[in-house]
Amino acid sequence: MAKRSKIDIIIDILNCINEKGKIKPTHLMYKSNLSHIQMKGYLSKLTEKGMIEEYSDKDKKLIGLTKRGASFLNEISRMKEFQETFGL
Amino acid sequence: MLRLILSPEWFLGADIIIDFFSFLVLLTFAIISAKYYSLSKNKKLLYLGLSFFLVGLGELSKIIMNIGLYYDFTIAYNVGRMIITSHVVESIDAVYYIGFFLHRFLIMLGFYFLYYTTKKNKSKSEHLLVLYFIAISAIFTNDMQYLFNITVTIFLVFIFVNYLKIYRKTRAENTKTLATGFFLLLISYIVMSFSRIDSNIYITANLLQLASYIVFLYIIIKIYKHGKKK
Repeated sequence: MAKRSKIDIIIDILNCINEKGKIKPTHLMYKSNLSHIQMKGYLSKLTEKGMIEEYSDKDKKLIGLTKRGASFLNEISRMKEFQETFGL
Repeated sequence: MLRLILSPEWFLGADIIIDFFSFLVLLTFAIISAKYYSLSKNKKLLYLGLSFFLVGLGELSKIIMNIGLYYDFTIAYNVGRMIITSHVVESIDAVYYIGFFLHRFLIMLGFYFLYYTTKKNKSKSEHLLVLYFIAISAIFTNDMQYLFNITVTIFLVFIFVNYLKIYRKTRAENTKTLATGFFLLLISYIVMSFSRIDSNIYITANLLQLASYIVFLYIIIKIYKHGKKK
């Protein structure tokens, strides 16, 4: 399997969150195939950029997409389709 | 120098509008490619954008020269003294020569780039060789427009076959549409090669060009709408 680029990892993280709506950090870690340290780094960056936000539900920590994150994911899906069209 | 206007009088201006529409579509592709390059840092997207930008600049050069040809005859006629007239006409000729040279050179270079965007094997010497032939073709086809059209047709045949191969591999509907667009465009260049025979051939070639760029615009709209739906 080819090594994922940073943008690929970010897409995987955002897709995992998008699929579930809101997701526990541990689940996200397993689903996106990352170590705890890697996960922490990406989550802090994505929070900083306003793409994800944390929610608390009965002592549970959950992560969800913001509007900005959802629109970024749309843009990425357009980019993928554009690349696929030209065989890039 | 005698300049031959191929368009019938009633079609003058319509061909410029078609070229301008083509330019806008090409510019949109270039901007989208640049935007996605900044997101993904995929260099192929940068080259793709560059190739559309070059073809777009080529179209723009043609638009400017045609506007000059169709609507600006007065300069040569209104100057009083013969010597001045001669200088003015010569300088106008030089501008037209450079303008149409740029049109031919940028379009051929752009399509060459587009062809090589999806190719893996690239060598610098090969690029230099093709660049040399493109420059030679652009310089010497000034009075042989059909030769330029045939050269572009050859590039477009390679591009069309390339996207057809990609479609066979990926089965992506957009790639099939893209290949259709390039097929229409290459037919328009073939038809344009015979445009000196009859002005209706010139109109047909222009309409085919318009159809091909409508197909390209349709792809942009489809990708944009698809992303919105998700």
